[in-house]
Amino acid sequence: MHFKINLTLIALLAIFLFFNIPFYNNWLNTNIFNQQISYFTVKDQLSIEQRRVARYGYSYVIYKELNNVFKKFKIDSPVLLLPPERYMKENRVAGFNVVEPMVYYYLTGNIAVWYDSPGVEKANCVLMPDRNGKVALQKIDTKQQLDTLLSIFKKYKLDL
Amino acid sequence: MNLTGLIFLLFAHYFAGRGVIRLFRIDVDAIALLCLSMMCGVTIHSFVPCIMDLIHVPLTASNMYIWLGGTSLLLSIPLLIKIKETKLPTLRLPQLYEVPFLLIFIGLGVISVWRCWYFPPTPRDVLTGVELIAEYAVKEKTMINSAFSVDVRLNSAANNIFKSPFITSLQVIYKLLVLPFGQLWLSILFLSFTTWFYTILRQVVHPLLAGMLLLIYFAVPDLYAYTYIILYDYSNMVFFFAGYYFMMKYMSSGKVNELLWVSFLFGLATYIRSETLVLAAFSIAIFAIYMYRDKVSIKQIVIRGGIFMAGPLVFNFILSNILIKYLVPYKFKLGDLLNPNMTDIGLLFDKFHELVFGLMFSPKGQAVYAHFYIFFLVVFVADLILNRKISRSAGMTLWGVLIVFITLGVLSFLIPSHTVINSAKRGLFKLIPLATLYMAQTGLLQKLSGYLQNRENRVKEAATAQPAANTKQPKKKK
Repeated sequence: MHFKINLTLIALLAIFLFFNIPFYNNWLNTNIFNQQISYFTVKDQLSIEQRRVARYGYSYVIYKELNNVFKKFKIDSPVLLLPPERYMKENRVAGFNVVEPMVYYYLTGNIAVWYDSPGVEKANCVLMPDRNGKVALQKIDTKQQLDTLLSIFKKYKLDL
Repeated sequence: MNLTGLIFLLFAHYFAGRGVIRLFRIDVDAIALLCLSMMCGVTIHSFVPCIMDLIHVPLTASNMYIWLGGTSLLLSIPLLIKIKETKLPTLRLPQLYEVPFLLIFIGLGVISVWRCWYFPPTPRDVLTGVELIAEYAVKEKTMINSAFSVDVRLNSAANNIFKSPFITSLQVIYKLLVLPFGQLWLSILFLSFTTWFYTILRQVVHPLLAGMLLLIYFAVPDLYAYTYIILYDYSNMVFFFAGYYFMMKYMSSGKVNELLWVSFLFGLATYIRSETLVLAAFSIAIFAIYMYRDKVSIKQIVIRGGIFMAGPLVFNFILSNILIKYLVPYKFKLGDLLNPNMTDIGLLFDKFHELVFGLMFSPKGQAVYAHFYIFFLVVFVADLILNRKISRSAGMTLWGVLIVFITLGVLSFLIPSHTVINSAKRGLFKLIPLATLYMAQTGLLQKLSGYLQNRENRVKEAATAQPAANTKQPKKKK
């Protein structure tokens, strides 16, 4: 029995030393014991929608909110023109991620396009930066308006 | 969460997987049997929604119960036929010194399952492909759905809609029967594989050393992260390792049923990630070399090699020519993805350089793999210096490590979209369980293990001898 107790102490020592290696110590504290995603922190946010917000963040809230804005603007079949991420960054929009049309469809069930997507001519609204570094929805009413936007966006490479 | 659905699936996976293992007549201990049954059951069931969709059966919860139940019953026939031969397993309680490690592993397991359950699917690779298809398959009851009507970026870097329907199908099953985010199938694979892997390590080295090795394996940050983030690489690693491990077992047994089982496991790995076909082709070289050294005739090597490759080839055919062909309404062109400058061999060396110094031994690599490769190299070099010879089993495992490394470099050269920093990064997961097993098999750890085992046995013998001596003493007095 003494030998087994000695081996148990060796096991405990090995675990202690292992998690004292700086990298593993950091991993344990910042990842494994990450308070932000522990059960005790999120136990009151267990609905499906709350869990989506917790994972996808601010951008997801904006995209979901667009559904209400579409109703307000009376856009029945919205086709959203997505600006390139680099364009948004250049206009100092912080904390907002421009997703791909496929991800946008996954999150909202609505259609979005990029400047080089098939069917871009059907775009009837666009996400643009406002003066406060936030995003705002604008309606596209004419082909001329769309062409102007496309000519601006085409200057930026799309990040895939 | 629908708990009834989860319990149904657990039983369905177990019986389907157990039936398949019985079909191959694979002889493993009780824990390994349970784990392998779950692993195989999960993967085999991923074919069910595909078959349902191909014959136009709507993907509804009730249909899914019927089809999964029916498939499980069908696959468990080999088990039911010989039900009388089924023995109750004899389970052994862990030793006291295993408990600290087991508590850590249980803790990490619980955290992983919690994160898998709590968070929705996240990786861009699944949101722009298989998860998107699965989400709309549940809404529209078919895998050919409106997800394909958006800009799917054909022939872009990722080509995510052309990935194996393995994840799509499992997501459809779990979304319909368990919870809206699906995903819990990954926890089943993770828990089953890790438990099985621990039993393997315990067979090779003393449980104390097995615990230490599994801790090093567990603490690979990205590998751990992919136990709760759905993507192909973890599942692929599970079946590649299983195939390679049983290949090594076959090398010593030479039983045909084990060879068929190896072929089947490599087949499942290929179905999950088609690149495994290249890995299987490289593995066959090791297979052939060892058989040649064992004086197996060339004709036999060719026949056995053919059986070995049959599984990966058949599953690759099913994947490319049936599943992707009929379940994705676009044509896949591999030619567009191949490196147009194949004669530039310098680029191949650049890829290997990037793999080693840009990934494995770089700050980025440290964040991904922690110090795993350093542990591996220290044991490897120390064993070479102190032991100076590599056992047959350790040699074979080491070849496996090398095959994964070489194949990933070659794939990054052949297919530019198979980037070192993303695809090869996760592909290197396949190397980790093999490298862990190699460390256990080294002469260095074998000697240490032997020493611990001998000491433990001596203590045990002394403990049993003492009471016996005590009981004899009163007799003498008489």
